[in-house]
Order: sequence, then structure tokens, then C-alpha cells
Amino acid sequence: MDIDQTSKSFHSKLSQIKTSDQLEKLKISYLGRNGQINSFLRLLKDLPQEEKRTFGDKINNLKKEIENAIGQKTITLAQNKTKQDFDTSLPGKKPHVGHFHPTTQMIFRINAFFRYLGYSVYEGPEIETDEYNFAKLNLPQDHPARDLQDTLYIKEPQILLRTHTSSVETRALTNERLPIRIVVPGKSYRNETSNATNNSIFYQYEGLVVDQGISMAHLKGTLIEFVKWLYGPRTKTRFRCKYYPQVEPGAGLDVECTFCWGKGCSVCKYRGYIEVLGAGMVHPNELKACNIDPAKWSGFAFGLGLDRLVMLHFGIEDIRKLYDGSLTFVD
Amino acid sequence: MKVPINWLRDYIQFDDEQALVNGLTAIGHLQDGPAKKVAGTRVYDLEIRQNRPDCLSVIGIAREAAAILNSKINNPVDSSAALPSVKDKTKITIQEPNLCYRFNSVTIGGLKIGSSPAWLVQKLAAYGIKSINNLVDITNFVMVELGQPLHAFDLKKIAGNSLIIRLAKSGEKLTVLGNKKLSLDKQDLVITDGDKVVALAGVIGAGESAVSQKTTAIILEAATYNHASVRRSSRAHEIRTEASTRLEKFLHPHLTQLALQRAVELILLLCGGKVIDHTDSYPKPAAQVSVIFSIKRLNLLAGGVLFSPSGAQSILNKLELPSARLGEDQIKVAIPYFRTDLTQEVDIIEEVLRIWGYDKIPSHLPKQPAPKNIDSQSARMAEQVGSLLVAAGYDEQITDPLTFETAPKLDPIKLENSLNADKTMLRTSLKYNLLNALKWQQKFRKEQIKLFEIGKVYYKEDNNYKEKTMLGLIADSTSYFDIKGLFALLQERFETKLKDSDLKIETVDVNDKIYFAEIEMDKFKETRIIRPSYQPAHLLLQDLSLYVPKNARVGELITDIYQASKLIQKVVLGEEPRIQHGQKTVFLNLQFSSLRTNLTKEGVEPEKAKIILLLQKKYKAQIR
Repeated sequence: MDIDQTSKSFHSKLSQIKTSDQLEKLKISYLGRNGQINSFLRLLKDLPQEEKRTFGDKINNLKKEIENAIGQKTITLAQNKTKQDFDTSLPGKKPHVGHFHPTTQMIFRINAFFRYLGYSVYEGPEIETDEYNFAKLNLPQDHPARDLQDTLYIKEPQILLRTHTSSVETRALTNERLPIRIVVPGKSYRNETSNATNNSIFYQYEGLVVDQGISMAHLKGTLIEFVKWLYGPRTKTRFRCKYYPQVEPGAGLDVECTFCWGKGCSVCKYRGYIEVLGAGMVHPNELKACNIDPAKWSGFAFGLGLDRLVMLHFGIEDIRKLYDGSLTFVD
Repeated sequence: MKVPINWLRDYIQFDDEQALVNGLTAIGHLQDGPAKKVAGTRVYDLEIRQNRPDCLSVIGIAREAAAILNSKINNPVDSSAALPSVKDKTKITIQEPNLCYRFNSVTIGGLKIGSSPAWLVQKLAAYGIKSINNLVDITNFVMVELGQPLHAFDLKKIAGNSLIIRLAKSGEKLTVLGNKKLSLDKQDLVITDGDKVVALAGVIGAGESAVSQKTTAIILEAATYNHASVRRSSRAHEIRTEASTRLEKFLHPHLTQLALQRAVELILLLCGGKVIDHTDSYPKPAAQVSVIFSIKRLNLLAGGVLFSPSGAQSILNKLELPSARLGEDQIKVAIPYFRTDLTQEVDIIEEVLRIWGYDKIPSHLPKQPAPKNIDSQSARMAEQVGSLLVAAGYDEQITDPLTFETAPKLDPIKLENSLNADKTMLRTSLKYNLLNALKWQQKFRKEQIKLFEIGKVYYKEDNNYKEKTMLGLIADSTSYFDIKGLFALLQERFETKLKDSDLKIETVDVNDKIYFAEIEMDKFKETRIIRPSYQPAHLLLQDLSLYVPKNARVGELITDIYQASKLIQKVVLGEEPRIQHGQKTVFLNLQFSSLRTNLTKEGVEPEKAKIILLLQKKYKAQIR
């Protein structure tokens, strides 16, 4: 009839309990009709008056203690059970977010660089005239360089789809006040039979600065900073002479091929370098055609094809897939 | 231009071949691909600038190399060896002096046509031309060596001793080498013998009058034509030859004389024979070109490099460009016949800089202050509207505006010369491409597809060509109200003159619940004021449950609630209205807010009463 002993033995039994069935049995053996507690209570009536009270209190305390402990154990068992069923290795549920098109992502990335240097993002029409797309760009009718431009005509020879974003240069130089510092991302068109590397629509990114005292050094500095920002600070570059009718001196900026590190591979067409930018000092003929005095103002312009950059960056191998609606975001 | 290294070594000495080719790349002639071993020599393919026909010759490349190496070339043409003085036996008539600037010819008799010596066969093979016979090989050799195309006619096949250069008659026929039959047009410049057409000038000769094994006498000509005319004919008849590639660029008429001298020398050596005649028709001899440039201008463009006049002149010397000082700042450059690309100051500045070395030009950002921002609104709005749509779970598409629509929405703009049959017009709506993209993605995506494009549509209006930027939205498993809600979000976020009626939501497919909407982007303006969407507000929510007549317009009712109380911040439709006992049930959550006071249930009671009163009056609403 030792209450303390009973308590001790209850706790030692309770600690052995693994399942709720076992717990239920234990509960009945202590709290049930024929359980320990009731057998103690049945003893009460035979005790002297003064002991009845102290012993009764002890029994009641023991009963509460056991009830609490069983209650606690019930919760622990339930939690253990849930833990066993809960497979934390299942994948999480990603919230659905939208995506910008890879080309747009690249444009935003490049815009960020040039905005920081004080450039405005400028746009112009895609349906163009010969005047803005060719004539004012030092590309008069019959200029040999026009051969490179397979033009899509709406009404030959005057109305066409712009063959480059350079048409926006002449628009800006004709319509805006100097000095000017703009970049122009946008669609351009060529009359080509589509294949994996050529498409009739493609994206160009054009830049133009006209101010007083602008030099080749500014052009070179801007392009090299840009390329290092885009490809990383250790990028090896090559700044060489290149011909574009609308600029002179003309330049090209090449980046050492990151696939073969200059050794030559299929990506760089075994050149070791990838042509990234075409550039140069705005040709005086272009400035004059836009009513700007080349003795007072000078400037530089640059352009890059975005599609190749986007394709290399996102691992897309066919240019047609960029713009035929088959790009699907697979995350 | 394919440059066989052994051939190049005939005119210039150098040790490190790859260093030289790298140098050529740096000064503007990009090495295109690795060297190939052909006919016993390495051949480099260089990309030649459109304005440098002189570099479509081995001698031209040698001159560029000499400028890099600071040495001199061995000129193969013996300029002292004049052509024989037997003159003008051939009658040459240039009817179009604006299209043919010079027609220079020699007549040679007593020839023995046979095979070429090994050195000649190999040189041509390395360049990529197959050996035909000694005479034809010589004309090709001189063309590749000096850059001037030549053509030999079998004298026996030429009626009389006369050549006429004139425009073709419409429909006139010419069967050229390789047996291709051409039907000429009035813009084609041709060479005739008065009887028949013997060549499409600058492009290709007739098969019949070509040199053969039986030929014993020839008229050999070297001519300069209007480059545009040659290019036009070459394009129109889809014939590109080594000759047309050169003659469609600016060649100097003087080159014809050098080419004939060189060819005659080699013909006499390899085919024997004797020059019978030299007839040169050169109606308007070209004037000597000179260009003046300023050292100040050069230094300004160079950006911190300080060239002295003599420093600049020594670079010009390397390029065989004779120059003379004109006072303090100016230098006058006499332009030689082989540099037709040099016509103005900036051309000379580029010459100095490219030979001096682009890699030595300093490199720094402009120090000029950034000019006023002139961002195009369209670009800014595309960024902002796009960002909101991406946040709303829409994926962006960029699709080809060149298309073919069976039922265009607007008067479409057609293309005159598209090479692709499925791209003959410009789109008038974003719908077709977006729907195609959605259908494509449905094949392998189980989840809901939501796409947008911000791009232009194009149309004709009053005979003007127009383009405007649109926002197109398409989604499946969606509803009219999802699209309308997205539109409401845009209205909230941006300044817009857009009315609900401007939004046309199209049900594309009822079963798949595909909806499409298109909105003009220029209806959105950037918000200048930050809208109070985040506020330290005291909010109180109240429900309102109503019956209204079946035909009541719940959207209008909600608009009226906004009008009725200043404390109303937001009215949310709690559940979709249903028809019950012939009436429409409307369950609304009213959100009251105040920036100043703590709102209590009792405090908003009069406001709520005001609203109920209005709804009872206007919509015969009953509280449920």
C-alpha cells in the first residue's frame, strides 16, 4: 500500500510504452474500474478518520499525476506517429512566377549597364524609309555595302523594314537635341531563308553618343568596360579595325572565345575570338545628313547582335526557336 | 579573299606568317577560319572590307603587309615595259560613257594554246581556280595578282575588228560559259561585235567566243565599269564571278593598263605570239585625287594620342601614300590609283590610326556630363507593365511579326519580296502567335499556361503605314474575370485613360477556357505619384449580404458604393452572385479605412447605413 512505490512503478512502466494500445492497457490498469487507484480507494473505508484524510489526498494526487502523465504520453505518441508518416524528402511546392523572354532578360541586363553611364533607352519605328535606314547612314543607293543587307521591302525602294537598329540613330540625331547618349534595343529584319543560324527577324542593340570632344579612346573605354561587365573582369578583348559605312574610323571588338580560350573551335569558327561588337566614330557624312556640324560635334556608335549572345547564354542552339513561340520555361 | 602564303611571298618578305596574319586582322582584314593547306601552301581566308577592292588581289594584301612590316613590295609589273605602239586597229565604241569608264584592249596573234606550267596551275589551285589552258589561266592569274579582271575573246569569233559597249535590248539573248542562257534586259550593259552579244559587261563572256584549244588570235580586254551597273546585272541574272566581285566595286581605270602589260608579258612568255594592236578607249581620264587632313582633328579623334605631322606622314609613307605639309596643321595626301576608298579627311585619319595600332589607342570613359534623359516612354512602359505581368505569373513570348494571317483584324501590310511563303505580311494582332505558342505548350505542360507579349502590330490607314505597340494576354483554364482582374491591376498601377470598354476579352476556346485580350500600350502612362497602396491605415471590415433584382448590374453597384462613402477603401465580392428565389444574392466585404482615427464598428455604422440606403433606393436591395 505504498503510494510512492506505486507512482515509481507507474512511471517506469510508462517509460516502456511504445504504442497507444499499450498506453490504453496501462491506463485501464491504473485508472480503470478495477485499477490501482480504485483498489486504493476501496481501502479507505477501513482506515481511522484522521488517516482517511491524508491518505485520500495522496490517492487523489497520484490519480492526477497519472492522468497528466498519460495525457502527456498520448500527445508524444501522436507526434511520433506523425513524424514517421511525414516524408520531408518530398519536393517543396514552388510558387508559380512568370518569366521574361531570354532576349528581354539580356536587354534589361545590358540596359542596366548603360543606364548607369547616363544613356537613355530609345526606340524608333520598324517600318522605315530608305532615307533613315540607308541614305543618312552614308549608304547611298548602289553603295557596295548595301549588298550585305538583304532588305525586306514593303514598297521598293522607299518603304522597308529596318535592316538594323542604326536607323534609330539617324532618327534620334535628326529629332533630338545634342548632346545625346542613347541605347536602342530592338527588332531588325533581313530577307533570308530561315535556318538554325539566320532568321528574318533578329535583335540588335545599338548605342550612340554625340557630344563635343568625343574620341576613339571614349569608344574603346566604353566598349571594354561593357564587355568586362558582361563577360567578367578577366575577359580578354581584341580591338581591331573594321569597316562599316556609317562610321570612320571603324572598329570591331572581339572577345576571346570562352569555349576554347583562344585555341579555335566550332563556336568561334576557329578564330579564337568571337566578334561581339561593331563600332566606330560616327561618320561625318552621317552627321551632315542629320544637319549636325562635324567640326563641332563628334561621336561614336556601336551595335551588337543580341540573339547569338542570348543563345550562348541560355544554351539555345536554333535561332528560330527564340521567336517562334516554342520557348517554354521549364522550372 | 583567299591568300596563298607562297604567292604572297613573291612580293613581300616575312618570317612569322601567323604574326603577319594577326596583324592583317588588326588593321581590318579579319582572318576567317584556320589556314588550309592547298596545293602545297597554306591558304588564309581574309574577310575583305567592301570598300577595298584593291585587297581582292595578292598584291593589295602585300601592300597592307608591307605597311605592317615597314618594308617594300616587289612590284611584278615592269612599268617601263610599254605596250607596243601598233595602235587603234580595233574599233571600240563606248555608247555609254557613264557606265563604261575605260575599255583597254590588245590584239595578239600567233598563239599556241596549251596547258599551263606547274607553277601557274599550283598558284591558281591554291587560290581556288581550276586550270583551263595557258591563256585563260594567265588572265585569271593577273586578276588575282593585281585585282583587275581581264577577258579574252577568240578573234575568229568576233565579227570584224569592232567592239561596241552598249545597253542590251529587251529580250536579247546571250549564252554564257557553262551553257547558261540569259535573257537580257534594257539595264544590262553588254559588249557586242556589232552582230551579237559577246559578253555581259564585267560579269561573264559568251561561251562561243571563249578561248579554246584551237584559238590562235585573241582580243584581250581590261575595262572599268560603273560598279552599280555590274552589281545590278550580276544580281539580276544570279551570276557571281571572280570578275563581277571585283568590278562591282570602285576600281581605278589606271589598273587596266597595268593588268594588260602584265598579261601580255606572261602570254608572250607562255603562249608565244605577237601583239598586233593596242586600242584604248578612255573617254574621260580620271583626275588625280588628293585629300587634306588636319593633325588637330586626327589627335582629337585619337583621344589623347599626340601625333606630330612628321609622325603621321611616316605612317602614310608605309602605305605608299605620298604626302606634303600645308602649313602648321594640314597635310595633303596624293591618293594613288590603288586606293579608291580614300576620298575625305576621316579616311586618312583611319589609315593613320589603324597602321599605328588600335591596341595603342588609350581607353577611358567619356568625362562629359550625362545629357538629359530621353528614354522612350514605350521602352519604360514595356519594362514596367512586363514586370507586373511576370509577377502575376505570366511568361513572356517574343514572336515573329512576319507571318500569314487568314483573317487580319486591320488592313494588313504585305511584303513585296519575302523569301518565306509563310511570312508574306506583318501581323495585325498578337493573337495568332500567342495562341500557337499556348497550343504548343499545352502538349507537354500540365499546369495552367499564361502568356503575354508586348510587341507591335502593323496596318495600313489612309495609305499610311502604321505600327503600334500592343500588350497581348492569353491563358488557359482561366475565366473572363481573371483577365478582367489583371486589367484592373494594370489600371490601378499605371496612369491610364483606358476605359473598361477598351478591354475586349475574347473567348478563344470555351472547353479549354482560353481567353485572349489585347490592349494598346500607349494607353498606359508611368505613374508620377506613388499610389497609397501601402498605408499606416486603420482598417475595419464589414460584411454586407443582399438580395437584388435578377437583372441588377453588380459591377455598377460596387462602383456606387465607392462613391457613397469616403471611408470605403475597398469592396470585395465575397462570392459569386447566385440566383435564389428569383433574386440575385450579393455578398460583399466592405473595407473601411481611415488615416486619422481608429475605426470602430459603431463608428462606421452611419457610413454603412448610408450605403444601404443608397442601395435600397437605387437597386431595390434587401438585406439578407
